[in-house]
Amino acid sequence: MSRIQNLAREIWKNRMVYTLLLPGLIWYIIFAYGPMGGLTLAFKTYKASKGIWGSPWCGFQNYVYVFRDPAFLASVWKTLYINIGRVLAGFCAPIILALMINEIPFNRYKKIIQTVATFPQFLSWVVVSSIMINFFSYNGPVNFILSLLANKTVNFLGNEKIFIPMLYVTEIWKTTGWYAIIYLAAIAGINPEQYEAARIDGVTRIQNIFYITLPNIMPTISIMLILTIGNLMSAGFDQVFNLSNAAVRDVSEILDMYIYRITFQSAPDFSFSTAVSLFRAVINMVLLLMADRIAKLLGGEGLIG
Amino acid sequence: MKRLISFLVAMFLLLTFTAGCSSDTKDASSPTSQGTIQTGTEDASQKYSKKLVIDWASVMVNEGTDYNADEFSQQWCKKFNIEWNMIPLTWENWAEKLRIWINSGDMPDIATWNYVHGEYAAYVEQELIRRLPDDWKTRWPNVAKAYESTVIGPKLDELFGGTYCLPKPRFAMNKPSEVLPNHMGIYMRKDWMEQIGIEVKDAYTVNELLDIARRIKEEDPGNVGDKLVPIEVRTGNMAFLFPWAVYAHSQSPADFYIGEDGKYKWGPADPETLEGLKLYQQAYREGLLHPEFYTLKQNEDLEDFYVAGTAAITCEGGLAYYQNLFGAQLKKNLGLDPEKAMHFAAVLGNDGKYHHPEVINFWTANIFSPDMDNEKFERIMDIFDYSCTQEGQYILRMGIKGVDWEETADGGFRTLMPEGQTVDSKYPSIMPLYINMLILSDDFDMINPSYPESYRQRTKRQYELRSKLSDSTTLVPTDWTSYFHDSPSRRKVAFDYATEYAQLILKEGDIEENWKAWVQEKMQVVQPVLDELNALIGK
Amino acid sequence: MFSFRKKYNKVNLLKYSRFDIVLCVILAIVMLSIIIPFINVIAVSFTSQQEYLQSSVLIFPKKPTLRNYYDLFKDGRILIGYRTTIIILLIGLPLNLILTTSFAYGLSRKGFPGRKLIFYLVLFTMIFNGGVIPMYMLIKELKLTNTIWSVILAYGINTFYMIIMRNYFSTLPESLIESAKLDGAGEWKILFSIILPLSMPIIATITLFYSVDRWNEWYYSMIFIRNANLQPLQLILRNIVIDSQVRAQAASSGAILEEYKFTNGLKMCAVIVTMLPVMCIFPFLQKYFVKGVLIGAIKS
Repeated sequence: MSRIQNLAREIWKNRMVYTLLLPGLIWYIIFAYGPMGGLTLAFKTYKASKGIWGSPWCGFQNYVYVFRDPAFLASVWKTLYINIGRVLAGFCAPIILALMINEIPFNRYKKIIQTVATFPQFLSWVVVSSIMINFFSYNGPVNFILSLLANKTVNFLGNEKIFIPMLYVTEIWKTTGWYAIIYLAAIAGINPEQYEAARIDGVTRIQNIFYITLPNIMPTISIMLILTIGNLMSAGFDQVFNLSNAAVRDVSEILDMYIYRITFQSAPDFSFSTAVSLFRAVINMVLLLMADRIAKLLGGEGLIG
Repeated sequence: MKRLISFLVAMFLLLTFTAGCSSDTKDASSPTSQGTIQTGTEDASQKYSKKLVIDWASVMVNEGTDYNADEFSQQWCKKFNIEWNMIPLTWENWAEKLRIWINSGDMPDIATWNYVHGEYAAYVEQELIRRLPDDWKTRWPNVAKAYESTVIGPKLDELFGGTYCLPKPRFAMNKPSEVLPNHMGIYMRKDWMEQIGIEVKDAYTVNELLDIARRIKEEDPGNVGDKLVPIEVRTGNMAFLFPWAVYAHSQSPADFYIGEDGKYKWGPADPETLEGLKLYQQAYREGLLHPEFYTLKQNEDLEDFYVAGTAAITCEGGLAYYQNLFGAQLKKNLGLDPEKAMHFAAVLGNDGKYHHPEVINFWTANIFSPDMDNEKFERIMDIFDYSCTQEGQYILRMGIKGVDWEETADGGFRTLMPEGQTVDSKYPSIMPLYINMLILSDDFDMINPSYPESYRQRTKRQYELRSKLSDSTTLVPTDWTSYFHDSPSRRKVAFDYATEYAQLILKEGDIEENWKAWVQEKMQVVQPVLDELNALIGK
Repeated sequence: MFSFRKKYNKVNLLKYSRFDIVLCVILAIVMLSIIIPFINVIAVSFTSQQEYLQSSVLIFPKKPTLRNYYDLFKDGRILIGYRTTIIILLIGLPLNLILTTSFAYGLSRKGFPGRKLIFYLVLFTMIFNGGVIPMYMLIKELKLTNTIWSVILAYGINTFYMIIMRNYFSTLPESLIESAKLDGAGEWKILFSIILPLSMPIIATITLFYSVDRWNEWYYSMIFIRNANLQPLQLILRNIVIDSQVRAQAASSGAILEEYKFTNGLKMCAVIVTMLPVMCIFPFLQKYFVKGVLIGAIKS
């Protein structure tokens, strides 16, 4: 009895906080949870005439069909493989860039670099892919320079082994400057008194970076890492779709490409695609929670402190 | 900062207000919209007393065009007392948009839809598209005639016990042959070929084609230099030159067929497909193809042929429309005379025969909203019916009678338009609204006076040639059982064969080994389908 | 204080110049790798199709032409796209910011019941979503199809951004908030008068991100909007740049004209024209990325 009373009192005490949350909550309820019922389609056979609620249940039948196609599991592994590589290769790049930009003493130059570095993000993958294909083609400038220096040309986009590193290279090119902004914002929030104190102790600039700047933005880094991991199964469709071609089809059919191929070239089966999406989301969630737990174990704050 | 916030809030409120106002004005598809009553308009008969607005979602709609504006369209609109509201779809999002709208029960009045059998079965079963009234064939006989000519139409009626879509026939009045071959073929630089003494024929076998490519590569008659590509074709069309040209069962929809033992087989697993792949790979490894053909996007191969002039052979459709386009481009960009520089030929298998699955006489279909009221539906059918008459067709293809064309004494017709002007440049509303309304323009292509006679003759010749050079094992008639088969397993067998074959030949190593491994992998999803099909025919 | 810092910099400049130079050189190479492809894009936009096909990569076309720009603007769609996207941005961006900031700040407060529950419920939506059909039906129920509101409202809060913002808020010194509460300020007042000024870097960042998201939106418009006059810029850009790579097998003769409309030059034109305005937002917001000045100022 009194627990409820306590609860009521706590709620009343914090009532202003709830008003803060209210606008966002309304949006979430209508637009995020409203359509959420569609998730049930993973376990139903969708009959449009009956709508989502009226469609009949079919248990795990959809998943039987999903798993029966070896291409499906292959695409799951490929997605994991490519995206884990993506994190390993590319996660640190924005951090390093932000640190470098931060260290520059010339303000003008700093601003220019900050701005220019973000340019590639404004191009969609459609455009970036046509630029890349142009630059890396067998008679493009990169191969031209290579043939001058090393007397051979490399098939960048048609070679299965090189294709995946090319994915990483192009992604780093496109997104580093953009994500660096988050880290720059975090660095901007560091209390300058810390630097003053360090200077008095006679610390070098490199030590500054490792002992002051980095530790201060650790919370930001860990959040970004956790969120990136939580998106692992979903990343990359636009890029892979636009950059891949028949020659590298085998290594590049990630989950979204598989779904695209299946739904595009045959009848739409919404229960099937919902089942696959749900599966993917579950994996993402597991990864996210794992990353969160590990971050906490390592002494960080995790997603919610 | 505070100023910025207040500015933004003010803009926010202002725009909220204006956006709110503008969103009320558009609700064109409401069945209860009251138009003005038009009486006394020239061609409006009594039954067209109420003006209707028709929503039509289609590909190739030009977003900037007002489809009701030009004279041509106005005549039709006045005659039937309607107004068009065209909803543009792009090739890229066509299927997805329609799929979402239809499945959510919110489709426009008419939609031009890419026919996929499984999808059709689902829509029919769930009553998401309109069922045509049972007596529609007697009420609109011209449409019925066009419908019959598609061959698939009556079969669908049988299968589903009713008509739910109107497939658009390619050929309704001028069908060139009984079993339709495909019109794709190769465009070649005739001037180069003549220069080095290659015989100019109407059809080449694959081996002959490769020989020609070798000679051109070696001798470079056009003096192009490094950029010369003997055969420049992008992935999507490559398979057309090699495996598909030698074996009809290596492509859909003939991939599932009944073999000699009476059971269903899967074509890509047959040794003939391997033969085609070997030729493909040989061509690639010898450098006769574009080294990175798999990165070529749509049109890049064609543009190298008729804009840059660096390709000797490329692949595209053969109707007079295409030939005209190629010719015009060659002239414009390279200053070449198409009669001297351009040649079009068919590709035959090495047995001298033409291989291809029968092309069913339709492409896309019109489907109707189940919620549209009958009056609108009937009006639409009246328009379609008129378009399917002989006179209607002439008008659609050639423009306004008496202004753009006229009948000649011998029952033929003659264009009155100045040279170089085509009907779709004069009346922007024609494409695609009228030209592809129901009967497609392949039909008229054969007799369209705005194309040079030589092109039309060639098209006709090609069709006849392909029919002649084939028999029922090479120009394979449609197997309706497998064509109409749909199941969850069948939906998994959604292969893009062109990409699959390209990827096979680009792999390192022995093509036979790679192919065998590929077949084995695919069999896991193909075998269940074969089993289902065999069950259907009782084996 | 200030002049002392200046002298400090000057002294260290001599000592660390090698480090700085290395840094500047590396960053210059990075910049070059970005600028060169961009110059290529700009160059192509001024190139005729024929020249484009005959030379492999351009830094500057031999025969520049304004034809592509002329064709693009004559078409008129780009202008419609601009108008729609600007409306979406001017209405949507404040909506996004208000919702996200208030929610993030609310979640950063500690000790109220349901805090973790709400957080996990919201996190759930970031990972799971019901799919496009239920969304469409919802918009249909709300009678928002074919209106600009469907697009504006469908993207209300980006949970990723919200979490980052929340994270930042929770690192702000509690003491400031406590003292404000003692002075009798309510949560909203604290948010506006204390938190926001202190959080300019992160607010500027999130504003930038949302702006770009809004500018680049196309998917929801593609599904919800049928009226050609309400199409946003990115959607129109896609229509221009992506000639479909899928073509219905053996299409009929009526199905070809469209593919030949857009040259590479025009495509690049469209890219630049779409990109330029939004690229200008960042320099404008850059002044909010100033290091620690505000925290220091408020403290003293």
